[in-house]
Amino acid sequence: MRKIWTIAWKELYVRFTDRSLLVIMIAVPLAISSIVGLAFGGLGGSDISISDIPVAIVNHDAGSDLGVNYGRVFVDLLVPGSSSGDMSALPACETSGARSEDSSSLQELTQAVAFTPELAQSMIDQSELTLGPEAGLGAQDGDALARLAVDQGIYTAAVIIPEDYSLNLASMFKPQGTPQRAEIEVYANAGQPIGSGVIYSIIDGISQQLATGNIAIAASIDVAASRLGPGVSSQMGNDALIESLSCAFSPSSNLVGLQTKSVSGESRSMAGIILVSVGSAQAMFFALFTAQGGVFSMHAERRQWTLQRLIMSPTSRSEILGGKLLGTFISVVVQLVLLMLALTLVGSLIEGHLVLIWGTNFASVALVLLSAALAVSGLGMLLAGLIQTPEQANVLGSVINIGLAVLGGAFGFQLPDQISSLSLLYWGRSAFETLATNSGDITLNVAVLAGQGILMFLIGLLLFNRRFEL
Amino acid sequence: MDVMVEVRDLRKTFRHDDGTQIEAVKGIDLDIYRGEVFSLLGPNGAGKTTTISMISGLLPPTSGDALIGGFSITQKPLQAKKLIGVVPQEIALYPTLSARQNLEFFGKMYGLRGDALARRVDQVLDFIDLSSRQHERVATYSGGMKRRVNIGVGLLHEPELIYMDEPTVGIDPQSRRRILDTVKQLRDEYRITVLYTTHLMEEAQELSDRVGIIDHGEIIALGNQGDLIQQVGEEDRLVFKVGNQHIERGLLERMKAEVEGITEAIFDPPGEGGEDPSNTSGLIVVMAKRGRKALPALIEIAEKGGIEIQSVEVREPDLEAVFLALTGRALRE
Repeated sequence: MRKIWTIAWKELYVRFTDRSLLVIMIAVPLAISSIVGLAFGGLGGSDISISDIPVAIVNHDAGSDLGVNYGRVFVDLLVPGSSSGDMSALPACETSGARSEDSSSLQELTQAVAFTPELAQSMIDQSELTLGPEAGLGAQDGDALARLAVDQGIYTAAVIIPEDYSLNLASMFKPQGTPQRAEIEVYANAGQPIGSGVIYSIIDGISQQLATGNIAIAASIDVAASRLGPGVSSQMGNDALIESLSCAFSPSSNLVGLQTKSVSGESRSMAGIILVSVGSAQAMFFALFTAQGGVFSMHAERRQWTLQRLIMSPTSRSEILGGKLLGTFISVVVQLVLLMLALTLVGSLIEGHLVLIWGTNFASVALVLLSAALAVSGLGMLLAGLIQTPEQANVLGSVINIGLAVLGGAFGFQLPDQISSLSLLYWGRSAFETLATNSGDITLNVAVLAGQGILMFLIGLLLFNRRFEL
Repeated sequence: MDVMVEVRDLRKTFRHDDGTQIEAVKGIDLDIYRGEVFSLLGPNGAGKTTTISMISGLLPPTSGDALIGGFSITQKPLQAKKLIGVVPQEIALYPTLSARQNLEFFGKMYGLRGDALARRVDQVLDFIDLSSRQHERVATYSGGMKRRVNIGVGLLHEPELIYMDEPTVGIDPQSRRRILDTVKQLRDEYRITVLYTTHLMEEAQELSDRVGIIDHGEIIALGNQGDLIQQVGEEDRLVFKVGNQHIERGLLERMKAEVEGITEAIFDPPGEGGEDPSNTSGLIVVMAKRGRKALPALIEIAEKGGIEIQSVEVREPDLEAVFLALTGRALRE
């Protein structure tokens, strides 16, 4: 193992003391990312303009036995024209009569529609929504059609509210019986992590407000019941008490009010967002060259006879190969880390203060980074196994790398997800974007990157061992 | 005598993509004794490097084996390789690393670590006289300096056997002299066994305790220089320098037929190596029992044949004569 580390360390030293190589590995991708970030993001930390995020709301909520329809709250808050601010979904509440400012700002932020069977049918009729293999679906399959519309990029997210949402949410008022869990499905497009993150935050915020209001009411009922005594309590009846208290958490109520969760937590400057998006793809793009160069340096070593000298030393062939590959993998990791740190610095300089553009979930960032390095190194090994000479590698490797970069969004424009996802750069980029905006799950991205990395590595190693006689 | 290297029926066959095969080494048997300089002498393409590559573990033999200090290079390669120091013909160094970094890296590959490694690197840098420039990148060194570092790497782990593959190729006379002196120093002062390959007769003659002459993948003569020269008798070698003139085969045959005591006459066209590596002139080489007496008649035949002789040299019997006598060709052909 010591010899493997010695060879790996020599690889790193040779690579990171070569100024011309450093320019290609670090300076060029950093410059491209910064230029694209400045060009599209501008100076001065202007906030990204997030508005008109298309959302489909499928409300199946049948309301509670108290007459409250909490699902309707989401529709009223998000869909323009669905209510005049009187929160008709809630029973007999005294409202200000004025349109809620919260509702107004949410409606500017999103472009929400109530995804009704009529709307679904209309979209199908006008071929806006293509059923394809889902031809068996009808307008009544609202959930499936809404998800399909998200898949086809019509909506950034679909918010699906189940029939028993209000019933479950109200269950905590009932002293008798077990409180039920009230759930809403947010089906979001992973390829639009920023918009998806905003929608998720809004829905989560409203849900939290509803739940918090209900908990407060439930606690109030308990206190009132204990003070009034069981007799009075039973005479008054829980339902009546609940009905009167339910207004307390109405969005337009003067008593509590429904505060929409600010999206500032997910807000980034445009430059920061672009830096993460383009920078991560650029970093992986240039890391592809590093990985391929690392494996192909075996040919250069043979040419300058250092490989033969190693073979003639008491060093096993597996130690030589292991050292070279470990050195290449670490080089890729170091390159990605340096680029990410440098891009953080650039982002902070643009903002005028320290900005953690990659997010604050450092463990996940490290996980994505390692899986991206694995995928990049795996591709390098695969190409080394498929290609016979360094000259072929220069041409074919460059073509493949540039193709992956174009697909993966390394040059500031993004292709549709169905095409883009063919590139490993897409999976890395979208994972970094997701972490930067704290807007979703990266498990699939990590699995895809690590999976294809390991697969390509093993196939490449097999082919390389057959072709390259150490 | 104590045997350091035992080579038994060593063979190597290369298979080309088109299915053809070339037997580069055809069953070599060889013993190299501890503490001697053994030269493997032969023209380019004779199989010297292939043989050495198998002995040092770079190439797997098609059949046969070599024992290094009792360890089989095919069965116990790591133990055998620990005993061998390698000085390849190429400058097998990392050009972007300094001399010291190269020595430290390869030293670690031979298992040296810590203070022992540092001490040994200092000793080797002193031995190759590069202590003052040890931290400069190898890429900035002259050809001779690179050769010295190349040798230094081979000496680093104090090997019992050092293999040097044509270490004087492409360097200036001063550096060449220095390397030849180093080889003698390794044998005389450090008692290291040296396996030296060359196509230069003078080098083999100057350095070797014993010589193996290899041609077309076979050892055609083996022994000390005196024994080998005895094999071809006490013949003089007459070397006529003829520039770029074309020599007809008939002229050489007339020389053999018409002049008494001539046993061989060949034409050695212009090229690298042979009698004089820097010579670009063609040579007529004649083996004669009494060379000086035969000289006037040979010059007359040449002049009649329209050949202008630029110079003539009469040489005493040597390894070149042995090779010529055994193969009918000059070493540099």
